[in-house]
Amino acid sequence: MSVRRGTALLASAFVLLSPLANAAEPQGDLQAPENRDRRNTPYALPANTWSFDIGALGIGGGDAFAKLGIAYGFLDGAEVEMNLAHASFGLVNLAGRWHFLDTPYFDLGASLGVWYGHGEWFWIVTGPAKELIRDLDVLYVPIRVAASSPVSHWLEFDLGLQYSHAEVFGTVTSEDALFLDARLGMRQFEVRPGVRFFLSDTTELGVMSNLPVYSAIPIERARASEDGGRNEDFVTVPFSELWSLEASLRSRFAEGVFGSVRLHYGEIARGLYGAPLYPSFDVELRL
Amino acid sequence: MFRLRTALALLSACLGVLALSVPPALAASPGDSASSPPSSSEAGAAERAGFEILAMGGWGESTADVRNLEMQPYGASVGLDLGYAFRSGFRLGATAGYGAGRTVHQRHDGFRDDDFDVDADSSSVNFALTLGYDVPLSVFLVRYSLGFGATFMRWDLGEIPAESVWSGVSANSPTSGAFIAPGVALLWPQGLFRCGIGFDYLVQANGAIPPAFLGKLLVGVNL
Repeated sequence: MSVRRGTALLASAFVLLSPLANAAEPQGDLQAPENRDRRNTPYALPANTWSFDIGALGIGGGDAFAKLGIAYGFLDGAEVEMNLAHASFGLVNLAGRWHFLDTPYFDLGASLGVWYGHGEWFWIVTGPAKELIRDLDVLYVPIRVAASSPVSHWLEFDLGLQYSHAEVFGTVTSEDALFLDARLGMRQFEVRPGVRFFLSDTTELGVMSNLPVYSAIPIERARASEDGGRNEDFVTVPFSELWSLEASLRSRFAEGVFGSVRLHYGEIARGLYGAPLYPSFDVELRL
Repeated sequence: MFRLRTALALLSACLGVLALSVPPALAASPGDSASSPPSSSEAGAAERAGFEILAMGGWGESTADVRNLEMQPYGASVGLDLGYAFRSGFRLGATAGYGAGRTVHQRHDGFRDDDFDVDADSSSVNFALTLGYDVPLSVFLVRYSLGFGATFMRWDLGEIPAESVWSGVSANSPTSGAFIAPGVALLWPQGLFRCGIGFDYLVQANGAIPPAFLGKLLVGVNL
Protein backbone atom coordinates (compact mmCIF):
# COMPACT_ATOMS: atom_id res chain seq x y z
CA MET A 1 0.00 0.00 0.00
CA SER A 2 2.77 2.41 0.95
CA VAL A 3 4.62 1.78 -2.31
CA ARG A 4 1.45 2.30 -4.30
CA ARG A 5 0.93 5.70 -2.72
CA GLY A 6 4.55 6.65 -3.26
CA THR A 7 4.37 5.66 -6.90
CA ALA A 8 1.18 7.66 -7.31
CA LEU A 9 2.90 10.74 -5.91
CA LEU A 10 5.83 10.23 -8.28
CA ALA A 11 3.53 9.79 -11.26
CA SER A 12 1.73 13.00 -10.37
CA ALA A 13 5.02 14.88 -10.29
CA PHE A 14 5.95 13.62 -13.76
CA VAL A 15 2.55 14.50 -15.18
CA LEU A 16 3.07 18.05 -13.95
CA LEU A 17 6.54 18.15 -15.50
CA SER A 18 5.64 16.71 -18.90
CA PRO A 19 4.20 19.91 -20.44
CA LEU A 20 7.57 21.50 -19.95
CA ALA A 21 8.90 19.42 -22.79
CA ASN A 22 6.95 21.53 -25.23
CA ALA A 23 8.50 24.68 -23.84
CA ALA A 24 12.04 23.35 -24.08
CA GLU A 25 14.57 25.56 -25.82
CA PRO A 26 15.87 24.18 -29.10
CA GLN A 27 19.58 24.02 -28.24
CA GLY A 28 19.45 20.52 -26.78
CA ASP A 29 22.66 21.22 -24.92
CA LEU A 30 22.63 17.97 -22.97
CA GLN A 31 22.85 16.17 -26.31
CA ALA A 32 26.24 17.73 -27.01
CA PRO A 33 29.13 15.21 -26.82
CA GLU A 34 30.69 16.88 -23.78
CA ASN A 35 27.41 16.83 -21.85
CA ARG A 36 25.79 13.53 -22.78
CA ASP A 37 24.72 11.08 -20.11
CA ARG A 38 26.75 7.89 -20.41
CA ARG A 39 24.49 5.81 -18.20
CA ASN A 40 22.75 3.14 -20.31
CA THR A 41 23.70 4.89 -23.53
CA PRO A 42 26.39 4.22 -26.15
CA TYR A 43 28.14 7.51 -25.47
CA ALA A 44 31.68 7.84 -24.17
CA LEU A 45 33.65 10.76 -22.82
CA PRO A 46 35.28 13.04 -25.38
CA ALA A 47 38.97 12.42 -25.93
CA ASN A 48 41.29 13.64 -23.17
CA THR A 49 38.43 14.18 -20.72
CA TRP A 50 38.40 12.99 -17.13
CA SER A 51 35.22 12.21 -15.23
CA PHE A 52 34.82 11.93 -11.46
CA ASP A 53 31.47 10.56 -10.37
CA ILE A 54 30.31 10.41 -6.75
CA GLY A 55 27.04 8.72 -5.91
CA ALA A 56 25.23 6.30 -3.66
CA LEU A 57 22.38 3.82 -3.34
CA GLY A 58 22.40 2.52 -6.91
CA ILE A 59 21.00 -0.91 -7.65
CA GLY A 60 23.04 -1.98 -10.69
CA GLY A 61 26.12 -4.16 -10.50
CA GLY A 62 28.36 -1.26 -11.39
CA ASP A 63 26.98 1.29 -8.95
CA ALA A 64 25.32 -0.77 -6.19
CA PHE A 65 25.62 0.78 -2.73
CA ALA A 66 28.17 3.44 -3.60
CA LYS A 67 29.96 4.95 -6.55
CA LEU A 68 33.20 6.83 -6.72
CA GLY A 69 33.88 6.49 -10.40
CA ILE A 70 36.87 7.75 -12.27
CA ALA A 71 36.84 7.58 -16.06
CA TYR A 72 38.99 8.82 -18.90
CA GLY A 73 38.07 9.33 -22.53
CA PHE A 74 40.67 8.81 -25.22
CA LEU A 75 41.04 8.42 -28.97
CA ASP A 76 37.70 8.99 -30.67
CA GLY A 77 34.90 7.49 -28.56
CA ALA A 78 36.88 5.18 -26.26
CA GLU A 79 36.77 5.25 -22.48
CA VAL A 80 37.96 3.34 -19.43
CA GLU A 81 36.32 3.51 -16.00
CA MET A 82 36.80 2.21 -12.49
CA ASN A 83 34.54 2.42 -9.43
CA LEU A 84 36.95 3.27 -6.65
CA ALA A 85 34.24 2.87 -4.00
CA HIS A 86 33.81 -0.79 -4.89
CA ALA A 87 37.57 -1.22 -5.12
CA SER A 88 37.91 0.19 -1.60
CA PHE A 89 35.46 -2.47 -0.39
CA GLY A 90 37.63 -5.20 -1.91
CA LEU A 91 35.92 -5.50 -5.29
CA VAL A 92 38.38 -4.99 -8.12
CA ASN A 93 36.70 -3.60 -11.22
CA LEU A 94 37.50 -2.08 -14.57
CA ALA A 95 35.26 -1.25 -17.51
CA GLY A 96 35.81 0.01 -21.01
CA ARG A 97 33.44 1.34 -23.62
CA TRP A 98 33.60 2.30 -27.26
CA HIS A 99 31.17 4.60 -29.02
CA PHE A 100 31.79 3.33 -32.53
CA LEU A 101 28.83 4.63 -34.54
CA ASP A 102 28.07 8.33 -34.26
CA THR A 103 25.42 9.78 -36.55
CA PRO A 104 22.93 12.62 -36.00
CA TYR A 105 20.00 10.26 -35.47
CA PHE A 106 21.52 6.96 -34.36
CA ASP A 107 24.41 6.01 -32.10
CA LEU A 108 25.83 2.64 -31.21
CA GLY A 109 28.37 1.61 -28.62
CA ALA A 110 29.63 -1.36 -26.67
CA SER A 111 31.11 -1.86 -23.26
CA LEU A 112 32.92 -4.58 -21.39
CA GLY A 113 33.59 -4.77 -17.67
CA VAL A 114 35.46 -7.09 -15.36
CA TRP A 115 34.69 -7.36 -11.62
CA TYR A 116 36.55 -9.67 -9.29
CA GLY A 117 35.75 -10.09 -5.62
CA HIS A 118 37.43 -12.22 -3.02
CA GLY A 119 35.66 -12.75 0.29
CA GLU A 120 38.81 -12.25 2.35
CA TRP A 121 39.24 -8.73 0.94
CA PHE A 122 35.69 -7.65 1.87
CA TRP A 123 36.62 -5.73 5.00
CA ILE A 124 33.20 -4.20 5.61
CA VAL A 125 31.79 -7.66 6.29
CA THR A 126 32.66 -8.95 9.75
CA GLY A 127 31.69 -11.72 12.15
CA PRO A 128 30.04 -14.95 11.08
CA ALA A 129 29.15 -13.58 7.64
CA LYS A 130 32.82 -12.92 6.97
CA GLU A 131 33.69 -16.51 7.81
CA LEU A 132 31.12 -17.74 5.33
CA ILE A 133 32.40 -15.70 2.42
CA ARG A 134 36.09 -15.76 3.30
CA ASP A 135 36.98 -18.35 0.66
CA LEU A 136 34.47 -17.23 -1.95
CA ASP A 137 35.64 -15.81 -5.27
CA VAL A 138 33.34 -14.07 -7.75
CA LEU A 139 34.21 -13.12 -11.31
CA TYR A 140 31.65 -10.94 -13.09
CA VAL A 141 31.89 -9.85 -16.73
CA PRO A 142 29.10 -7.63 -18.12
CA ILE A 143 29.04 -7.16 -21.90
CA ARG A 144 26.72 -4.53 -23.29
CA VAL A 145 25.64 -3.12 -26.61
CA ALA A 146 23.71 0.13 -26.39
CA ALA A 147 21.92 2.22 -28.99
CA SER A 148 20.49 5.70 -28.76
CA SER A 149 18.34 7.58 -31.19
CA PRO A 150 18.04 11.33 -30.57
CA VAL A 151 14.99 11.78 -32.76
CA SER A 152 14.60 15.46 -31.91
CA HIS A 153 16.09 18.18 -29.74
CA TRP A 154 13.77 17.17 -26.90
CA LEU A 155 13.41 13.41 -27.30
CA GLU A 156 15.77 10.44 -27.34
CA PHE A 157 15.19 6.70 -27.27
CA ASP A 158 17.71 4.31 -25.73
CA LEU A 159 18.01 0.56 -25.94
CA GLY A 160 20.60 -1.61 -24.29
CA LEU A 161 21.27 -5.34 -24.46
CA GLN A 162 23.50 -6.77 -21.78
CA TYR A 163 24.79 -10.22 -20.99
CA SER A 164 26.53 -10.60 -17.67
CA HIS A 165 28.60 -13.70 -17.14
CA ALA A 166 29.46 -14.73 -13.60
CA GLU A 167 31.72 -17.42 -12.25
CA VAL A 168 31.61 -18.27 -8.57
CA PHE A 169 34.33 -20.32 -6.92
CA GLY A 170 33.87 -21.82 -3.48
CA THR A 171 30.95 -22.62 -1.23
CA VAL A 172 27.81 -20.63 -1.96
CA THR A 173 25.42 -20.16 0.94
CA SER A 174 22.38 -18.04 1.58
CA GLU A 175 24.62 -15.64 3.48
CA ASP A 176 26.41 -14.57 0.31
CA ALA A 177 23.66 -12.10 -0.47
CA LEU A 178 26.07 -9.20 -0.70
CA PHE A 179 27.51 -10.54 -3.93
CA LEU A 180 24.31 -12.04 -5.27
CA ASP A 181 21.85 -9.27 -4.42
CA ALA A 182 24.14 -6.80 -6.16
CA ARG A 183 23.95 -9.10 -9.18
CA LEU A 184 27.68 -9.67 -9.10
CA GLY A 185 27.26 -13.44 -8.89
CA MET A 186 24.43 -13.59 -11.37
CA ARG A 187 24.37 -14.73 -14.98
CA GLN A 188 21.89 -12.52 -16.72
CA PHE A 189 20.64 -11.34 -20.08
CA GLU A 190 18.90 -7.99 -19.89
CA VAL A 191 17.00 -5.68 -22.21
CA ARG A 192 17.05 -2.02 -21.19
CA PRO A 193 14.67 0.24 -23.10
CA GLY A 194 14.52 3.87 -22.10
CA VAL A 195 13.38 7.30 -23.17
CA ARG A 196 14.72 10.77 -22.35
CA PHE A 197 12.93 14.08 -22.50
CA PHE A 198 15.18 17.11 -22.72
CA LEU A 199 13.11 19.62 -20.78
CA SER A 200 15.56 22.45 -21.38
CA ASP A 201 19.15 22.86 -22.46
CA THR A 202 20.27 21.98 -18.93
CA THR A 203 17.76 19.42 -17.65
CA GLU A 204 16.61 16.03 -18.86
CA LEU A 205 14.01 13.59 -17.56
CA GLY A 206 14.55 9.91 -18.22
CA VAL A 207 12.54 6.75 -17.74
CA MET A 208 14.22 3.40 -18.15
CA SER A 209 13.33 -0.17 -17.43
CA ASN A 210 15.57 -3.12 -16.82
CA LEU A 211 14.02 -6.32 -18.14
CA PRO A 212 16.03 -9.44 -17.29
CA VAL A 213 15.00 -12.06 -19.83
CA TYR A 214 17.21 -14.68 -18.20
CA SER A 215 18.76 -14.67 -14.75
CA ALA A 216 20.52 -17.41 -12.81
CA ILE A 217 22.38 -17.51 -9.53
CA PRO A 218 24.61 -20.21 -8.07
CA ILE A 219 22.76 -22.47 -5.66
CA GLU A 220 23.92 -23.53 -2.27
CA ARG A 221 25.88 -26.75 -2.26
CA ALA A 222 28.29 -28.44 0.07
CA ARG A 223 30.53 -30.20 -2.40
CA ALA A 224 32.16 -27.02 -3.61
CA SER A 225 33.70 -26.54 -0.19
CA GLU A 226 35.53 -29.80 -0.61
CA ASP A 227 36.96 -29.27 -4.03
CA GLY A 228 37.01 -25.47 -3.82
CA GLY A 229 36.40 -25.41 -7.51
CA ARG A 230 34.19 -23.66 -10.01
CA ASN A 231 30.54 -23.61 -9.08
CA GLU A 232 28.46 -24.87 -11.99
CA ASP A 233 25.14 -25.22 -10.21
CA PHE A 234 23.01 -22.25 -11.22
CA VAL A 235 19.28 -21.88 -10.81
CA THR A 236 17.10 -19.44 -12.73
CA VAL A 237 15.50 -16.51 -10.92
CA PRO A 238 11.95 -15.39 -11.84
CA PHE A 239 11.59 -12.22 -13.88
CA SER A 240 9.28 -10.79 -11.21
CA GLU A 241 12.09 -10.68 -8.66
CA LEU A 242 14.55 -8.76 -10.80
CA TRP A 243 12.83 -6.36 -13.18
CA SER A 244 13.07 -2.72 -12.29
CA LEU A 245 11.85 0.67 -13.45
CA GLU A 246 13.84 3.83 -13.06
CA ALA A 247 12.93 7.50 -13.36
CA SER A 248 15.73 10.02 -13.37
CA LEU A 249 16.22 13.75 -13.46
CA ARG A 250 19.63 15.01 -14.61
CA SER A 251 20.86 18.57 -14.88
CA ARG A 252 23.98 20.46 -15.80
CA PHE A 253 24.76 22.57 -12.74
CA ALA A 254 27.67 24.41 -14.31
CA GLU A 255 30.18 23.77 -17.04
CA GLY A 256 31.33 20.19 -16.57
CA VAL A 257 29.24 19.58 -13.42
CA PHE A 258 26.19 17.33 -13.55
CA GLY A 259 23.78 16.10 -10.92
CA SER A 260 21.24 13.29 -11.03
CA VAL A 261 18.53 11.98 -8.76
CA ARG A 262 16.82 8.70 -9.60
CA LEU A 263 13.98 6.66 -8.19
CA HIS A 264 14.08 2.92 -8.72
CA TYR A 265 11.15 0.58 -8.37
CA GLY A 266 11.47 -3.19 -8.31
CA GLU A 267 12.02 -6.21 -6.13
CA ILE A 268 15.75 -6.02 -6.80
CA ALA A 269 15.82 -2.85 -4.69
CA ARG A 270 14.10 -4.69 -1.84
CA GLY A 271 16.86 -7.30 -1.93
CA LEU A 272 19.53 -4.65 -1.60
CA TYR A 273 17.92 -2.08 0.67
CA GLY A 274 14.72 -3.62 2.06
CA ALA A 275 12.30 -1.41 0.10
CA PRO A 276 11.02 -1.81 -3.48
CA LEU A 277 11.06 1.97 -4.05
CA TYR A 278 14.47 3.48 -3.54
CA PRO A 279 16.46 6.53 -4.60
CA SER A 280 19.95 6.97 -5.89
CA PHE A 281 21.93 10.06 -6.74
CA ASP A 282 25.25 11.18 -8.10
CA VAL A 283 27.30 14.23 -8.93
CA GLU A 284 29.66 14.10 -11.88
CA LEU A 285 32.55 16.40 -12.60
CA ARG A 286 34.15 16.42 -16.06
CA LEU A 287 37.50 18.03 -16.67
CA MET B 1 22.48 -2.65 7.61
CA PHE B 2 26.06 -2.04 8.74
CA ARG B 3 27.04 -2.14 5.07
CA LEU B 4 24.66 0.67 4.28
CA ARG B 5 25.87 2.72 7.24
CA THR B 6 29.50 2.35 6.15
CA ALA B 7 28.74 3.29 2.58
CA LEU B 8 26.65 6.28 3.63
CA ALA B 9 29.36 7.58 5.92
CA LEU B 10 31.97 7.44 3.16
CA LEU B 11 29.67 9.00 0.62
CA SER B 12 28.52 11.74 2.95
CA ALA B 13 32.09 12.84 3.52
CA CYS B 14 32.95 12.82 -0.20
CA LEU B 15 29.78 14.62 -1.27
CA GLY B 16 30.16 17.27 1.36
CA VAL B 17 33.66 18.12 0.22
CA LEU B 18 32.70 18.13 -3.45
CA ALA B 19 29.53 20.15 -3.06
CA LEU B 20 31.24 22.79 -0.96
CA SER B 21 34.25 23.20 -3.20
CA VAL B 22 33.24 22.58 -6.79
CA PRO B 23 30.26 24.74 -7.72
CA PRO B 24 31.70 28.18 -6.87
CA ALA B 25 34.90 27.38 -8.69
CA LEU B 26 33.14 26.18 -11.80
CA ALA B 27 30.26 28.60 -11.96
CA ALA B 28 30.70 30.72 -15.02
CA SER B 29 30.97 34.45 -14.58
CA PRO B 30 28.65 36.66 -16.64
CA GLY B 31 31.52 37.87 -18.76
CA ASP B 32 32.87 34.44 -19.57
CA SER B 33 31.35 34.01 -22.99
CA ALA B 34 33.23 30.84 -23.87
CA SER B 35 31.84 28.86 -20.98
CA SER B 36 28.82 30.86 -19.95
CA PRO B 37 25.66 28.93 -19.10
CA PRO B 38 22.54 29.55 -21.16
CA SER B 39 20.82 32.89 -20.95
CA SER B 40 18.01 31.46 -18.83
CA SER B 41 20.65 30.54 -16.25
CA GLU B 42 22.02 34.06 -16.17
CA ALA B 43 18.56 35.52 -15.87
CA GLY B 44 17.75 33.20 -13.04
CA ALA B 45 21.01 33.67 -11.15
CA ALA B 46 20.02 36.91 -9.50
CA GLU B 47 16.52 35.66 -8.83
CA ARG B 48 17.64 32.55 -7.03
CA ALA B 49 20.32 34.13 -4.83
CA GLY B 50 19.68 35.14 -1.22
CA PHE B 51 18.15 33.95 2.01
CA GLU B 52 15.08 31.81 1.72
CA ILE B 53 12.39 30.72 4.16
CA LEU B 54 10.06 27.95 3.07
CA ALA B 55 7.19 26.33 4.88
CA MET B 56 6.61 22.72 3.98
CA GLY B 57 3.51 20.55 4.15
CA GLY B 58 3.12 17.09 2.77
CA TRP B 59 2.65 13.40 3.26
CA GLY B 60 5.21 10.73 4.01
CA GLU B 61 4.85 7.01 3.47
CA SER B 62 7.14 4.35 4.85
CA THR B 63 8.47 2.14 2.09
CA ALA B 64 9.60 -0.78 4.24
CA ASP B 65 8.62 -2.61 7.39
CA VAL B 66 10.54 -2.52 10.63
CA ARG B 67 11.42 -6.12 11.36
CA ASN B 68 8.19 -7.38 9.86
CA LEU B 69 6.06 -4.69 11.49
CA GLU B 70 4.49 -1.88 9.46
CA MET B 71 5.09 1.51 11.04
CA GLN B 72 4.03 4.87 9.64
CA PRO B 73 5.81 7.59 11.63
CA TYR B 74 5.58 10.20 8.85
CA GLY B 75 2.05 10.66 7.47
CA ALA B 76 0.83 14.25 7.43
CA SER B 77 3.97 16.34 7.77
CA VAL B 78 4.86 19.98 8.28
CA GLY B 79 8.23 21.66 8.41
CA LEU B 80 10.43 24.66 7.87
CA ASP B 81 13.34 25.04 5.46
CA LEU B 82 15.82 27.89 5.90
CA GLY B 83 18.60 28.35 3.42
CA TYR B 84 20.96 30.60 1.57
CA ALA B 85 21.34 30.28 -2.18
CA PHE B 86 24.45 31.58 -3.94
CA ARG B 87 24.38 33.10 -7.41
CA SER B 88 25.98 29.96 -8.77
CA GLY B 89 22.88 28.02 -7.73
CA PHE B 90 24.52 26.24 -4.83
CA ARG B 91 22.38 26.32 -1.69
CA LEU B 92 23.04 25.59 1.97
CA GLY B 93 20.05 24.93 4.15
CA ALA B 94 18.64 23.53 7.33
CA THR B 95 15.29 21.85 7.76
CA ALA B 96 13.11 20.74 10.63
CA GLY B 97 9.96 18.70 10.22
CA TYR B 98 7.30 16.91 12.16
CA GLY B 99 5.40 13.90 10.92
CA ALA B 100 2.14 13.24 12.76
CA GLY B 101 2.28 9.63 11.69
CA ARG B 102 -0.63 7.30 12.16
CA THR B 103 -1.66 4.10 13.85
CA VAL B 104 -1.42 0.91 11.80
CA HIS B 105 -3.66 -1.91 12.94
CA GLN B 106 -2.20 -5.20 11.80
CA ARG B 107 -1.95 -8.91 12.44
CA HIS B 108 1.59 -9.68 13.41
CA ASP B 109 3.04 -13.02 12.34
CA GLY B 110 4.84 -14.50 15.32
CA PHE B 111 7.74 -16.81 14.77
CA ARG B 112 6.21 -19.58 16.90
CA ASP B 113 2.69 -19.60 15.45
CA ASP B 114 1.66 -17.07 18.07
CA ASP B 115 0.07 -14.49 15.77
CA PHE B 116 -1.51 -11.54 17.49
CA ASP B 117 -3.08 -8.16 16.71
CA VAL B 118 -1.06 -5.04 17.31
CA ASP B 119 -1.70 -1.33 16.87
CA ALA B 120 1.58 0.33 15.93
CA ASP B 121 1.31 4.05 16.57
CA SER B 122 4.25 6.28 15.70
CA SER B 123 5.26 9.83 14.81
CA SER B 124 8.56 11.48 14.02
CA VAL B 125 10.65 14.63 14.17
CA ASN B 126 13.42 15.23 11.62
CA PHE B 127 16.32 17.68 11.52
CA ALA B 128 18.72 18.00 8.61
CA LEU B 129 21.38 20.10 7.00
CA THR B 130 20.96 20.21 3.25
CA LEU B 131 23.19 20.78 0.26
CA GLY B 132 21.32 21.87 -2.82
CA TYR B 133 21.63 23.19 -6.32
CA ASP B 134 19.09 25.25 -8.23
CA VAL B 135 18.80 24.87 -11.98
CA PRO B 136 16.55 27.18 -14.03
CA LEU B 137 13.86 25.43 -16.05
CA SER B 138 11.71 27.83 -18.03
CA VAL B 139 9.98 29.97 -15.37
CA PHE B 140 10.74 27.38 -12.70
CA LEU B 141 13.71 26.33 -10.64
CA VAL B 142 14.60 22.67 -10.29
CA ARG B 143 16.15 22.19 -6.87
CA TYR B 144 18.31 19.12 -6.28
CA SER B 145 18.99 18.51 -2.62
CA LEU B 146 20.78 16.12 -0.35
CA GLY B 147 19.99 16.20 3.34
CA PHE B 148 22.06 14.81 6.19
CA GLY B 149 20.15 14.59 9.43
CA ALA B 150 18.55 12.69 12.24
CA THR B 151 15.11 11.25 12.90
CA PHE B 152 13.55 10.84 16.33
CA MET B 153 10.69 8.39 16.13
CA ARG B 154 8.18 8.06 18.93
CA TRP B 155 6.28 4.79 18.91
CA ASP B 156 3.75 2.90 20.97
CA LEU B 157 2.65 -0.69 20.54
CA GLY B 158 -0.05 -0.51 23.19
CA GLU B 159 -0.14 -3.46 25.53
CA ILE B 160 2.22 -5.50 23.38
CA PRO B 161 5.83 -5.48 24.63
CA ALA B 162 8.43 -4.70 21.98
CA GLU B 163 10.25 -7.93 22.79
CA SER B 164 7.23 -9.92 21.64
CA VAL B 165 7.03 -8.13 18.31
CA TRP B 166 10.70 -8.02 17.52
CA SER B 167 11.62 -11.51 18.73
CA GLY B 168 13.48 -10.61 21.88
CA VAL B 169 15.00 -7.35 20.69
CA SER B 170 14.61 -4.77 23.44
CA ALA B 171 13.71 -1.25 22.31
CA ASN B 172 12.52 1.96 23.88
CA SER B 173 10.67 4.92 22.47
CA PRO B 174 11.82 7.26 21.06
CA THR B 175 14.18 5.64 18.58
CA SER B 176 16.73 7.84 16.89
CA GLY B 177 18.93 7.45 13.86
CA ALA B 178 20.80 9.27 11.14
CA PHE B 179 19.48 9.59 7.60
CA ILE B 180 20.50 10.80 4.20
CA ALA B 181 17.77 12.29 2.01
CA PRO B 182 18.13 12.91 -1.72
CA GLY B 183 15.32 14.98 -3.14
CA VAL B 184 14.06 17.17 -5.95
CA ALA B 185 11.71 20.13 -5.93
CA LEU B 186 10.16 22.22 -8.69
CA LEU B 187 9.86 25.84 -7.53
CA TRP B 188 8.03 28.77 -9.08
CA PRO B 189 9.74 32.02 -8.04
CA GLN B 190 7.71 35.21 -8.41
CA GLY B 191 9.64 38.13 -7.01
CA LEU B 192 10.03 37.55 -3.31
CA PHE B 193 7.40 34.83 -3.30
CA ARG B 194 7.97 31.27 -4.29
CA CYS B 195 6.07 28.01 -4.14
CA GLY B 196 6.50 24.53 -5.46
CA ILE B 197 6.25 20.78 -5.14
CA GLY B 198 8.86 18.16 -4.50
CA PHE B 199 9.89 15.05 -2.70
CA ASP B 200 12.56 13.75 -0.38
CA TYR B 201 13.43 10.15 0.19
CA LEU B 202 14.64 9.48 3.72
CA VAL B 203 17.18 6.66 3.71
CA GLN B 204 17.51 5.64 7.33
CA ALA B 205 20.73 4.20 8.73
CA ASN B 206 18.95 2.72 11.74
CA GLY B 207 16.96 -0.32 10.65
CA ALA B 208 14.47 0.32 13.46
CA ILE B 209 13.21 3.44 11.62
CA PRO B 210 11.53 2.84 8.26
CA PRO B 211 12.75 4.66 5.12
CA ALA B 212 10.16 6.93 3.56
CA PHE B 213 9.05 8.79 0.47
CA LEU B 214 7.96 12.29 1.48
CA GLY B 215 5.95 14.33 -1.02
CA LYS B 216 5.76 18.02 -0.15
CA LEU B 217 4.32 21.39 -1.03
CA LEU B 218 6.51 24.44 -0.48
CA VAL B 219 5.56 28.06 0.09
CA GLY B 220 7.89 30.84 1.15
CA VAL B 221 9.90 33.94 0.46
CA ASN B 222 13.33 34.78 -0.87
CA LEU B 223 14.90 37.76 0.92
